[in-house]
Amino acid sequence: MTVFPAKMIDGSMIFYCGFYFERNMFMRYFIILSVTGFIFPGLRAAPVITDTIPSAYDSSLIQLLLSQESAESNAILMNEMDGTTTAVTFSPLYGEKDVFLQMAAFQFSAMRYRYRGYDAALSGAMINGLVFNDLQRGNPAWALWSGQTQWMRNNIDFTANRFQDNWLGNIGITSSTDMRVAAQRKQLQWGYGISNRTYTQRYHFSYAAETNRHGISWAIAANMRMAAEGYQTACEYQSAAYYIGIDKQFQKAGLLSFILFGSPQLYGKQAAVTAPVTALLGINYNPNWGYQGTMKRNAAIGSQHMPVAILSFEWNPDNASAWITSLGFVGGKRGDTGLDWYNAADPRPDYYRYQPAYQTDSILQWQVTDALLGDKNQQQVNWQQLYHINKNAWETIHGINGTNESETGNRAHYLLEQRMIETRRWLLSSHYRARINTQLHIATGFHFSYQRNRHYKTVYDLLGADFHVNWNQFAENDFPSDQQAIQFDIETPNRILRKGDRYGYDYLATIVNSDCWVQAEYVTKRIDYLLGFRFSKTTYNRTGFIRNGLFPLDSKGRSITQHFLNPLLKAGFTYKFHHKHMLLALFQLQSRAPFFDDVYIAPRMRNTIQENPLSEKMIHVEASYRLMLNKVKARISTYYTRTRDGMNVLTFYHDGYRNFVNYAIRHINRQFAGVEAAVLWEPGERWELTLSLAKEMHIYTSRQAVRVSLDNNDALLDRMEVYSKGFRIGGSPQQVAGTGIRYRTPNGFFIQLNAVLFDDLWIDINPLRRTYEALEGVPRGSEQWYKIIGQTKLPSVVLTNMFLGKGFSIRNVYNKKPLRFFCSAAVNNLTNQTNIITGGYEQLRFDQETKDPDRFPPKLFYGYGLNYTLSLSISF
Amino acid sequence: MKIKYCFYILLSLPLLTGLTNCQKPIDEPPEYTGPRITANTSIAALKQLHLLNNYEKIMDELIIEGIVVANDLTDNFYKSIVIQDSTAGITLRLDGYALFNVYPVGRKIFVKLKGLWMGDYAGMIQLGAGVDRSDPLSPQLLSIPQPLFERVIVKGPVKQLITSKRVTIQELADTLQSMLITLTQVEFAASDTGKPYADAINKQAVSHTLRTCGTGTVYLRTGGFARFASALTERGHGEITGIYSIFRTQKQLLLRDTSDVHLDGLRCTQAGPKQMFSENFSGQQTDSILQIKDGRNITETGDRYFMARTASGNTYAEITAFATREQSVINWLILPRIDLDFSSNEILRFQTKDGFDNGAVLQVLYSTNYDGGDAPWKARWNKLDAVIAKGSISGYAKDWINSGDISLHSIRGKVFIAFRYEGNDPPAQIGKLTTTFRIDNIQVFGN
Repeated sequence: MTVFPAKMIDGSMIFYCGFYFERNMFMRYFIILSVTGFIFPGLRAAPVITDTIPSAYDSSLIQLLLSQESAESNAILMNEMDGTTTAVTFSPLYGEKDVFLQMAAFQFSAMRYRYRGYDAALSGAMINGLVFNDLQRGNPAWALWSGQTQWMRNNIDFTANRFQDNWLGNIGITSSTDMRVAAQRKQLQWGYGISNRTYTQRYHFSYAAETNRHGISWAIAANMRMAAEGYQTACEYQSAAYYIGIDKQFQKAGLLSFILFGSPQLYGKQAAVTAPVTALLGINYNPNWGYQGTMKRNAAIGSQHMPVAILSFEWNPDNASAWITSLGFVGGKRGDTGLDWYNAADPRPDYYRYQPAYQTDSILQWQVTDALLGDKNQQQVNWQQLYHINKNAWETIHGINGTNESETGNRAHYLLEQRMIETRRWLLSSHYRARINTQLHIATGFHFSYQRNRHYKTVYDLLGADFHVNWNQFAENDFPSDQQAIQFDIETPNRILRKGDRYGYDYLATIVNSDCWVQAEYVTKRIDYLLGFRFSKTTYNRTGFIRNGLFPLDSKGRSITQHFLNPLLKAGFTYKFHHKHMLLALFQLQSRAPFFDDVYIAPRMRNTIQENPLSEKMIHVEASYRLMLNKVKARISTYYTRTRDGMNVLTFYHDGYRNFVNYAIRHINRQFAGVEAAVLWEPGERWELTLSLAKEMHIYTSRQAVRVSLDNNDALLDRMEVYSKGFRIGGSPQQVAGTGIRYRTPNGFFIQLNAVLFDDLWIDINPLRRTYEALEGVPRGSEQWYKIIGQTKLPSVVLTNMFLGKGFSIRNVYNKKPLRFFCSAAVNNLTNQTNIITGGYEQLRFDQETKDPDRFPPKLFYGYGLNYTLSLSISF
Repeated sequence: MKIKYCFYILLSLPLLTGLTNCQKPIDEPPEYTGPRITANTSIAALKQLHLLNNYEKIMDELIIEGIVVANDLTDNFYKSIVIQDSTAGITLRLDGYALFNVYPVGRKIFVKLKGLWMGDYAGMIQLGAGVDRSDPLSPQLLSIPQPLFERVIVKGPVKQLITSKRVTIQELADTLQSMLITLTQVEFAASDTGKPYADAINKQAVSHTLRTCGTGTVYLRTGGFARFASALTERGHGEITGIYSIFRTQKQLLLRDTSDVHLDGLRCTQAGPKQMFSENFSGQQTDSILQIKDGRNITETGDRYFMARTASGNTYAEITAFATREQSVINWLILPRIDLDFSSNEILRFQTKDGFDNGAVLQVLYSTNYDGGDAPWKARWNKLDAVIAKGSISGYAKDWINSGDISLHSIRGKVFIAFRYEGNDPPAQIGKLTTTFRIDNIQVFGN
């Protein structure tokens, strides 16, 4: 440790370097070298420069820290999202200057607020000019750069009514980030933080070198966050992020850049839990884990590593124009583990039959309650029992791989599967922007992206058994004497599976998306005009790699390719009453290709698609008034969006059919309307007051059409109508109000307090309960009738958050450069409300016999109680 | 400053490399070793507490132990397991699926009875967790909820020896309720043979009548969800193992699996069984090479044949390698072809006698692909399990040994049955295998 010279700051700085063990994190006793304390006994003796942090830098730093905060809470949402079957999405809004968007990004995101209620696919995420929305589901691929916020600060959020110089985005927000070395601050930064959220410790390090005489500059960065157990029980968290970038500046106005970054991560998941279970077992209950020995083992572990490499070339023919071309590659894997079982009792401890409510007899209800409360093994996954069963399951399997061989041993009744997605994606884009003159700005370009997602699952852990067999348990129940139907793969029937073997399904989704666009802005003294046009083409198909016994003709090989052509037209104007207040209006018309997952009915099994897939049409109008005075900034906007012909596919266990069914839903029409308002007032140098409000109405406007088929059988079972008209679109609060106050001193200290109200938070509807069949035999207008069709509204929430920080500099005697320190504390949910429901989903189950919607109550996610992050960073 | 940068980079490196090593080896728990609990009452004593059509709550700290004799492995027992001790058996109603994983047949379990209820379903005594009196006219015993299994049932060691009591229909008594029994000398009523055990399509239970040569009646009842529901009932006579059950006054047998059915013997018929083949060698010329009509007597090696011999006026077949001075003596006596397609429950019987036994082998084989030609060893032969005389080291056995009833029930088509002798008589004194075998009264019966 002598490398660190004590003379660095007058010999007054003593670093305590410790070896820190996180035994549960890395079983091999990975040693984390951590600087756990800074002691400044001679602080007064050192020349403290109090005015080196200009207030502008200060606020951008606050901005950065805030965006880091919100990125982390989004990581949590992402984590939870895996547990849901409905499309719960999130939208990390890196608000920039807009007061409302800032509030939305940093305060509203705690309750999954989505910008104007749009699904995430309507927002875009761009890096170095490439659009990084996943082509299969449409969502921005946030997980690719988890933990990279420190070096993603050069970011612009384009709302639909702004002239965007590198793409023509959808009606949501397009967040465009420049991650090239040129955009990095030339400094060395080192930071450490502790928290009680998903992670307990965070380290980061970044360094960007000055451009040398050959025009080359480079930067490296790394970040690491970890927790043996985060806020949620048995949710470990390990996440790293790395970044390497190099730039070469050519003398003739060219900049060649290469960046490589990746975010390997591994985390345990929290499951959504129903309200009765929470009432019994507590707000922190997580059914995903159980004790194995003394260790808490989580059955649902997500892991991912998909490095991204981007090569870009920017050519500036003159000061008024730029031509940027980028080529990107993403490759890697994502895996999610979960329990699978064969011919055995459901191992999930929160299964409804294990709950007291399942008992009809009150004494038995009490006894079951007592038994659950008295035995942790019954509340949680009983690993001991699963191993015990697997170790006593001696069986002989004949005809392995279609030969005469047989295998004898313990056959797994329980196992952990890992659902894998292997992604290979190429991206290419080129765009040109120019200021033709002071009035006319144009931008044009094209995008091309080719993505291959291979989906399969593997045996992750046999839990003490010797093997598993590649059989389809559900087909076995349906066709008990059909030897072919039970085979997942009839070409190698009765395959014996060991740890790591692929089984079940294996298919490839190949998606190609390309577009070209042009956009122009014409500025006059009174009115600015904006006009844009985009034309895109999407094609995709499915390639099956195994021949399923149920669908021998339709499962293996490549499906018919689907083609969609989608135009987008945008027209807007800004009327300037004065340069300090103006009116903006926008009209946008577009269509969007349905996503792969909404078209293929059962891609794990077969090539079947929805009948006649259609593109979703959207029409959007909005108007805003903006006021920009010296001390007051304000905006009020209203918008109205209609979409039609949306599609969706749901697969779930249907109690009526006693089987897995596919609901192919079409004709989903939606309407988004609302008003947003925000004011920022700076009464003096030190004070800043903000207020943001949104009152919105997001509803379904059509009766959706459902085509029901069995997962195990292609035949049409039923067609039905979902009486969904007028129901709220769930997931995002439709009424939010936030206030904030910030106090800042010239010497680098600030404190900020926020109070936010969330209301009109609805849970998305389960189509099953809004059908004629579900209401058959229920008296119209009765209490039960309304209970079945009624939509759940979550309680309103008021959250109070605090954020404070202090920055200061010390002149480094070694080279006279300032050494800047920044420490901050963010404390959210100051009142420590532990029972906040942040969202949830209605279970896709309905008891057709009793018609009691409470048999399968909605599953809910709970927010964190008081949570904090303390961090310290040093840069020079 | 440069060196400091290097230090920082070094500092950050372990942060990255650490993640490559993040897969945890999972610690597996040790195997279950057994409970520390003992029973304080027997199942028979427990059942004494029950009054018919009544429900009793057990208030004392009673514990019974028993071995699981039936469960839901084949789904014929639905949400229940049957246990028995040396005194009696009882059915436990458990509200769970795939119970066989936790309570396999042969596992000893202890049941803590306090708080449980005992009742009967049409006379069949069961243990449950409560009583549903929502319909006061027919109260129902409630199953034990899955979350209470661990409280009520203590798991003991697995793979315990189970003995099924062997009884005839006439010996069936109420004390055998819920016990594993083997009914001897039974067969399905003629109208119930060759029928599916239950209606697998409509998932309906079906009862078939079991009788002993026309007397006594027990119903073999099988649920529609049983995995063997679509299997066909046997045509023969013999033994069948299952759980004894009653429905009011009706005697029932519940099958665990078709492997418990051993009905391959001759049915009782008024006309008696049909004789399909018989040979007692009385028409053979003594001391000559045996000649059976349409049969074969073939030497594979060793230049010996099955010979006809006579003793006390009884003619029989005899073979020996003695005094051949051959390295290998293999002979085949092949019976005429028997067609099994038009009969059922066929049985082979014969008698043997050995002499000067020193290890030569006589086997009874059958083949369905033998062409009747001169080289039977080229066909595929399967061995039949027969009792063959042995052990008469000095001299000849006094009595004929019966082969036992060898079932040919599972064989279909036209079959050849052969006696194959294998011995030797090398010049050396050691290692001689020259046993003499005598065969007589070969019979094949069928229905």
